[in-house]
Amino acid sequence: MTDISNPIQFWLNGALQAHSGRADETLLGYLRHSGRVGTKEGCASGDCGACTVLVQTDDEHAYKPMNACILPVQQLHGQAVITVEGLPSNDVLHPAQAALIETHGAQCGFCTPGFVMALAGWMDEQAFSAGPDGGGQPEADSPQAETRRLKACREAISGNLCRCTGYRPILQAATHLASRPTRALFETHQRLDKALFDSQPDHSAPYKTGFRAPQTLNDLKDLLRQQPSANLIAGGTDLMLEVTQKQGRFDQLISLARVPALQSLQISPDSAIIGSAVTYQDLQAAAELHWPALHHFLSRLGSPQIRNRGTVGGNLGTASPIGDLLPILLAMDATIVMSHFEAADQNVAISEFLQGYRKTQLQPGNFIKEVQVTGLQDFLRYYKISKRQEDDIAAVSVAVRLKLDADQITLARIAFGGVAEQALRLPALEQALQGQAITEALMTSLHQQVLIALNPISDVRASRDYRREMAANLLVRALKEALGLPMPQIYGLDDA
Amino acid sequence: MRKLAATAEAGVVVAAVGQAAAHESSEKHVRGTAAYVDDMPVPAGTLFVATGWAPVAAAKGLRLDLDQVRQSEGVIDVCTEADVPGSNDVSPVHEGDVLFASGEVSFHGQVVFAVAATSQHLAEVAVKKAIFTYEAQPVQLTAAAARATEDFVLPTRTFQMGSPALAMQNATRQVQGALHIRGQEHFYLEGQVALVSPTEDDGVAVLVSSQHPSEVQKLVASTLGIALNRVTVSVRRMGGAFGGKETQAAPLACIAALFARRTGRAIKYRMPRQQDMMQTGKRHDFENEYRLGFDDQGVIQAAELTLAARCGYSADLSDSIVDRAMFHADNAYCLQNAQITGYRCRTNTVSNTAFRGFGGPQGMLTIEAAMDHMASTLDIDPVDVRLRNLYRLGNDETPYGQKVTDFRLGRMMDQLIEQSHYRQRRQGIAEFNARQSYLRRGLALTPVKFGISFTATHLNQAGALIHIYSDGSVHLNHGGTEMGQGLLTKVQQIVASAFGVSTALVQVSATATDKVPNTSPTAASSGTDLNAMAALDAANQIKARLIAFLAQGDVVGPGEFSDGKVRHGDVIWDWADLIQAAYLNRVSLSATGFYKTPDIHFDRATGKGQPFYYYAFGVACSEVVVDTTTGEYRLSQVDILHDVGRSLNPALDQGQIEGGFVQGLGWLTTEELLWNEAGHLISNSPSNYKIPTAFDIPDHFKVTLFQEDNPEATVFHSKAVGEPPLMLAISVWCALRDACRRPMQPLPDLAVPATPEQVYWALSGRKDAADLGRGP
Ligand code: FES
Ligand code: FES
Repeated sequence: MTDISNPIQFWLNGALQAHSGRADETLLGYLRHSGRVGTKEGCASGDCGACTVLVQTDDEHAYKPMNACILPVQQLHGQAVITVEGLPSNDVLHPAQAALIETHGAQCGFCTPGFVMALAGWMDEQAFSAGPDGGGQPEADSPQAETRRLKACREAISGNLCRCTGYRPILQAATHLASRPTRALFETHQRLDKALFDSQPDHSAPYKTGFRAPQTLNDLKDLLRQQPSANLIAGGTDLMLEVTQKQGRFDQLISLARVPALQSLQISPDSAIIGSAVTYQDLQAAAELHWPALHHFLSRLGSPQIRNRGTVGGNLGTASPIGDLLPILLAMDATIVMSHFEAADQNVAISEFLQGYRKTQLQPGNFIKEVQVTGLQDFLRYYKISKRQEDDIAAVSVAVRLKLDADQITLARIAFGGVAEQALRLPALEQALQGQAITEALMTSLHQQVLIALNPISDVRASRDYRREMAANLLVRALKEALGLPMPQIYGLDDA
Repeated sequence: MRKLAATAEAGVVVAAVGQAAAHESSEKHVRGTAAYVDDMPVPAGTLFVATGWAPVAAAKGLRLDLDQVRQSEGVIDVCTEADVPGSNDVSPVHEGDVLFASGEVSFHGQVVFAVAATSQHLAEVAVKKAIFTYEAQPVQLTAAAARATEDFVLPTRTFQMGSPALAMQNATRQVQGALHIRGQEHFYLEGQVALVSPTEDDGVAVLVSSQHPSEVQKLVASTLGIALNRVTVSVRRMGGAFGGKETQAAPLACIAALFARRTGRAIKYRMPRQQDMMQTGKRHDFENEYRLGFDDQGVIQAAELTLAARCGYSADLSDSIVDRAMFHADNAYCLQNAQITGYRCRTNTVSNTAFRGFGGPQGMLTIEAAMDHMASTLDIDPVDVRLRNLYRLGNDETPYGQKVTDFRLGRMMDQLIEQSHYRQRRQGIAEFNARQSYLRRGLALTPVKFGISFTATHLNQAGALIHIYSDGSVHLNHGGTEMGQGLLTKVQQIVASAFGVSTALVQVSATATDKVPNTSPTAASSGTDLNAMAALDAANQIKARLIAFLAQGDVVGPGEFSDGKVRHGDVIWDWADLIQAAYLNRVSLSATGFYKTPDIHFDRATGKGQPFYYYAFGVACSEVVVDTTTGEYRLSQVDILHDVGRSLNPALDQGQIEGGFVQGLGWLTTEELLWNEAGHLISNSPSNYKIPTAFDIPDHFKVTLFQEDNPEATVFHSKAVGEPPLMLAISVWCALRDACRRPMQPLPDLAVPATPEQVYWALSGRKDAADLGRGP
């Protein structure tokens, strides 16, 4: 059997499983073929949440909701998985299950296991961070607190689609759950096994080791030397679509997820280092204090399930024109640190790294180590326009960075996504802003120049004209905000 | 003899009619143990199906080279039209819906051949190896194009009332306009699926996710060329359907059955999501036109309405769907003099099909758009214009001749205006919009009147089957299917109430063609109206036998069934004891029930009749806030008052109202179905076709049931609730358009769906831009 991988071991609903299979086999496929059919397939592309399961990927985090349909089962070695079948403890329904019955939150029921798991993961996150003593005081009651609570409830289920209920009863269930303390799942269920996690699966014959998860930079480089044609995988949220949507096959995958050197995450007041295997979720949490613009932006990138797996390196590596982070990294003049299995590390400016439609400077043998960013204290605005507010791909995105000296612009960076084959900056415009004060006349002329400079296409997400106008309007909005003009938001708390 | 273990249980009526009982499967839903077709264990040797489909939207002289497909790994069998032993036609009513296209293809994605292989992956790999040769033909993609060439799938029909031309001429004022309404993908979370096993009698047993098991049975039999009695079809539950599994599920079962017969193995056909979106029909797009004549008070004198549906390549259910659009083009308003014309346009697109509302929403949206238009020219609050035109005594005749007799809608509107503080908010919004330059708010309050019954009269019938076993437990079966709407729960409640026992004693079961034959689809919101009555009929027959048994030949007095007891005269029996005694005394404890809706008829030649048994009503008030620099918006408040007659189960009814509203919200806002110029669907996956998420519903989303008995003799005087609430979302579209109106400017056109882009164009008054770069 050439296409069977080495056997891995992981905990599934409290029982240790040994499994060997293809490198690109999905967890959902594994579950359903082995008769665990409570986890549903609604799309097989990470868009609907029906396949949501909980995974404890390391012992420093809670169980997190993830999409089993695009999760390679081989990545689970040493980790712990809970599916809907395993959620009740001693056959007593989990509070999320009970709440959904009580609120009539299931009609056809097909989406329900996914919602159950998303809610359970959300509760676990809270229980885990609160610790065994239940953590601090709940927030006092006020209309703003109420709005925030509801927003958090929405956030928790924003990666799950339901076509029947209209969500109202599911949100009601979430609100019930928000006010009740629970114990962390690792206390009642399986806890990730550190020794097993750190162990390497058996790579000896007769198995062909199609999936490898090196644990050091050196091992990673060795593997790349041996298998230069292997595909790299981090979260797999993009790569696995090849398998589930296009019948693609990957016989050799090398996972970047377990190399500590790719996990660095430091955000200081003015600069940041982001390891390529850092998930959006972790980045979002870390950015809250010193990089709030990114923190807010990331809440609209993918869904909680996707953010728990998708990585910064993945977003860069695929260089998709709709990769949400690329305009931001362009505006921040990010530096990409590229490694190679035999050459020294290389620092590349993001503007050179991106070379065209899904094209980058990465060559076989290369991988992204980290991304370095400065200028977090500059004036930053990141916008995204999409048909649907949540979990949608941008029709247009705009990232603006300004250094201001009194009312003079001393540095300007303007980057756009969704307006061309690749994310791009408009250096001429940036030049024009240099040394200028922001005036009505300047804004009018910039608006005009953006309309002229951009030549996007019309497609399923937006028309050419809309894209251009949005790019121009949002740039002007950023400048107005830089002037301190009030720009009320439809999602503002105060206008309700 | 076995005695019921939990006799005491029979005494507790846990969920009588009218109570907010949980869905019968709720615990199974949350545990993940409720089984859908894809969850059923498959027999050893089961094969998996993938289909090969047309790479172009229109072609002649199609030839297939399938050699490499046949030789592909794991392939056991390959079928084309030539391999169908019976009929290749799978139309529900008219002819022309085909199982496999041959010779010519009529839309991009049309099935041309199918493969059965040892795994889903191998089947999908194999179908890609086909080589097609063909002569591409010009494509016709829009209703307008079909009207220009008079290419219709079925004849055009007209309703006429009074003298519209004359009244239009005489009216002091007129407005006219046009509205292109895009379709909608069902996006049931459970995709289409069928699992078929051969039986020993050369027949097949079919498990399928279908709203219409009897039709699946009929079409499988005709595909195979065998009698109906050799095909059994059963449906325990669907993971959502919304009309998308009324006719669209049958071809899957037919293809699977074909392979099952040929290979002698069980066959599973589960459509991947993208193919489901491409190959199955959707809500019809419409290109509609309106002209209203009215007086200075905004009272309508005459209406001319033209409804042109893009039906796709074949008829499917389009005849009745366009009829229903015409039946609802008046919505709640007396048009006085009217001409309503419905075109069934043929296009090189997938054949559009049933979708919750069944044409009604597209008819209703048109008149609501016209009402706002009319009000804007008079500077009267649109809600007053609506109130002035409501059907009322003396102004009660619909364009198709049926008289409206239930006038609760006026009271409902008054109640919601009050409850939602509509007038104060209207004032507040005017002030807000005068102050604010970036954000604008909009508000609308719109009514719904929806006719209940199948407009094909013969479908208004239902059957049920009840067994009582010797331990007192009850087995319940009927022709209605469960797709999440709670039909099985409601009928269970009704039967439990009829016998005076706990619902725990009444076992619901899969809809199956070998239990109740010749059933109608579970559609037209009529599932409960029809099947509950049939079940009640069966229950009443058994009750009559039990009472006769108790009377022992004496005068049969009325009996009372309640609290797990049966009382007759002075005698009181425990339910289980009575059943046991009845069994020992050879009383039949099984009955079939039947029901047909009374008093309905419609003459299609004259366009007059009484197609509906009654109407269900609703009112919704929605408020939005719009960002004028981007067109982004937020639905900030929704209040709904909806008429369910006397509710059989308020929790399930509320669920239908909320779910229907949000589905309508998606149709009118974010769900944009787009094709390219070649006729390829480009919104073909959940990554580019966006149904609402939890973020799209407002914090304030308040639904109130208007509980007042249905004057008609429906089951416990309830009203149907499946479809009508979808159209409550029209209030959102009207509110968005309201927000787009600039002071002293005419009301702008707004596209459907009103995506942020379209709202932006409406705000900027760029009419030309609305269709920029948008496919047909
Ligand atoms: S099946 Fe839809 S997200 Fe996995
Ligand atoms: S209950 Fe049917 S999709 Fe959510």
